[in-house]
Amino acid sequence: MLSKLGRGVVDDAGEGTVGPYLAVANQGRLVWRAPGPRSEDLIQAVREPGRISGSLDLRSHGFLRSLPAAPPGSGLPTVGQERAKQPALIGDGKVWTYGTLAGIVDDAAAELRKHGVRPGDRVMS
Amino acid sequence: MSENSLPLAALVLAISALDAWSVVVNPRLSEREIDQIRDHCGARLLYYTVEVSDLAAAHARRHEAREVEIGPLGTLALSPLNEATLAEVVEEDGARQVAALLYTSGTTGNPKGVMLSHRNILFNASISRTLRKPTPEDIIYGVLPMSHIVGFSIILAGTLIGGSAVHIVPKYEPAALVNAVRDRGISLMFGVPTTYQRLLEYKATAGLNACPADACAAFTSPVRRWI
Repeated sequence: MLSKLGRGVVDDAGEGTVGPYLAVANQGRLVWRAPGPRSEDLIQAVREPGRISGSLDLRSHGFLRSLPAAPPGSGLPTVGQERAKQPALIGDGKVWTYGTLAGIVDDAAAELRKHGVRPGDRVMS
Repeated sequence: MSENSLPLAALVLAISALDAWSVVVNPRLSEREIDQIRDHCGARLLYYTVEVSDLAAAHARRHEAREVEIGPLGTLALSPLNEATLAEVVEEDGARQVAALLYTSGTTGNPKGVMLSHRNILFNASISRTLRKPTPEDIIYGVLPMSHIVGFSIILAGTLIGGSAVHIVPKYEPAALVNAVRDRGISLMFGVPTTYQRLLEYKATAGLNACPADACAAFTSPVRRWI
């Protein structure tokens, strides 16, 4: 399978290219195959400013250190506990705080399950 | 299917919580494109945000969907259950599980689906956060569609993992943007070149004296600097 992310491409061997956007494999390994515009922040983080081709382990350079281990949905309660009263989503004349959103997502997931959604199903929304 | 809205954001997260794949589709696509995507991905169910999108409501009628109430999400339409479709295997490692299957529009051929894992989405979100450094006090103007990778991963997921807020907007109108920045504390926005071009056109016709042209140079603009 080829996955395209921005102008980067990740192949099924878990490698990718870097263009104006970044591409990264599931294993957290990024491979540069061509030079391209890169953020100064990223270059500094990698600490290889002169390098235009090569590979690196993202975890060892801290790129993924701040990522939550869980998927976005299940990560919400953690954020919600810290920022329960902070607004998360605003629109349609409503404000859903992180605390509210966590509960809404749980309730909606329960409804979806009742409608017949199973793990691994594709659901259009 | 839905244009940007609170119910759509909640649906995306609820689908994710069930380890199902989110296929966000913009109802502005043609009937042919939408039906191609539905058939190609083998959707088990389709949700239509009929209260917030007339276009979604039209597709719901066409697909003979029925209305359901889902608490704070309001009234949605729900397609008949596709009993024939098979569920994909769920990855043991949640990071490798597919979070979203996003499609190209299909204007130059059949729509093409891109499988994006949770790690893919979170990596994009985290990089955006690293580069733009939003704070919990920031309110991001979320007008780019969540059916696109930027709206999905950077604006929705990136904002939520960073603790900021998204002001969700279904359709871009420069006047509404200016009002939102002035009245609702919008501090960061994402746009495509047309977004800024139309903003400058509005500035000219509305006689605004703010909003300098250098906003056009940036894909993401910290709006505090120019309003």
